[in-house]
Amino acid sequence: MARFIHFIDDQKRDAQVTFSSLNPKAKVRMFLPDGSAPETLRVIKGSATTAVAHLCDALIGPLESPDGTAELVREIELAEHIIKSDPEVDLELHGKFITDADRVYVNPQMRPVFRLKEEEHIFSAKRELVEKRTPRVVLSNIAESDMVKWSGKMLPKRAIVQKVLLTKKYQVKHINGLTFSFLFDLAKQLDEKEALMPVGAGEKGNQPLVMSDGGKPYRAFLEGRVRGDSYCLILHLTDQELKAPQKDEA
Amino acid sequence: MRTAEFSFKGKSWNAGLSKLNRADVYGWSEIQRHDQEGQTCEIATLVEGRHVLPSGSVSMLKRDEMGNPVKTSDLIGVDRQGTQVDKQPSVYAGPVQLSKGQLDDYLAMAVKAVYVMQSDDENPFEAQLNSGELLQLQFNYREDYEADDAFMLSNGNDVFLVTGQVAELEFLSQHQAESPIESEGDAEAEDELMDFSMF
Repeated sequence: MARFIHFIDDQKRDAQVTFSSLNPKAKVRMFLPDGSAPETLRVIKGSATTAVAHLCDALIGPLESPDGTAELVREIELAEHIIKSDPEVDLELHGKFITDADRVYVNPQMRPVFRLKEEEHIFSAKRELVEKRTPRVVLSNIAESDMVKWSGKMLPKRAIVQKVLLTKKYQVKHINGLTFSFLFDLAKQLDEKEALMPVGAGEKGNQPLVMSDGGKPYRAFLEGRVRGDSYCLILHLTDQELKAPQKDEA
Repeated sequence: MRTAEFSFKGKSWNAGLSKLNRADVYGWSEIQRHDQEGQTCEIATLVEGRHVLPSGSVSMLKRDEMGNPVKTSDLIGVDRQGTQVDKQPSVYAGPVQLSKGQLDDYLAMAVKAVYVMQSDDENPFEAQLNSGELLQLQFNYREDYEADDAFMLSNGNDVFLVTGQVAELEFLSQHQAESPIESEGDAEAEDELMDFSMF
């Protein structure tokens, strides 16, 4: 599906253009020694009824005291059952190839649940739970009535790469002659100055970009390169500074 | 910590690689889902509308044209020209030769993983890395047919190894306008890229 991004430059000219992910294709593919390509399939190797917890309940009985020792004793007892009668193997199901499947949420009793309550848990870098809240709905802010503003600032490439990790990249593409000029001119300016330009969403153009509904917010930079009459405009996204985790104080 | 040896212009440096996770720097958030009784729910696969397969119940299997299972270790790597390629060694297998990296190549790289380099030894490349230079290498954590591109760089305090694949950029001329109309093929490709774990 063509995906659009709506840019507005520092002279208040705006245009909708497309973009695509800049993911390199694998340089090496895997084949069998005879030169044929293997087929990859998904195969069932277990199910809810053969899971350890279910087998323990079914063959040994419910867990009475939840301490680790009782659970270990149950599992040792289950091991004897597994050696004697193979209850962990479902002959009808195991080894079956899956061609079509659905994803469902299940409760601890492995029953599908369709009415879920959602809660977002926020953890600190020290792995401590710091907040519980209702999940926020994050909507894309890069197309249609939303616009991504060019800041006009030219930041040296080398300085940026020493500060942030540019983890995601998209190539921005024109859709007609007018948008070609719009993007080519910017790419040329950036190329000549060997610079990256910060871009942002929102009224002031200082908000992070959300590329799709439910996606994460990212700070963004545009990079341009020109070769003759053609250009390459790359949208770099980052949500991480180039820095190491803080060391725990002894 | 296990270390790898990096060499450049006759100098070498032994350093360990510690994977950098965003969560270790900023923390993270996760959505927990509960049923009406308050029990925590997990995502599972439902097959044929009746079999519930908890996480870890499905494996990937490769098979040949006759339907016989094939081990991944029996496969060989072939490049785009159809030539069989040799396995590239792990970064830990021996001294890794560094070369001067180009900033534009680094910027064109689709990033896979980032490591913080840790060493008690003095870093002989510190001055050039701190001045903003990049050092490039071919990187495999484990021996594999295809090595990643990797760049060593510094933020002034720590040295990082950023790995991934440098993309071959497509330069667009005026007549190479992208069609804004969706094709069926595009829609299918997008579906394949969808990660169902997001739900």
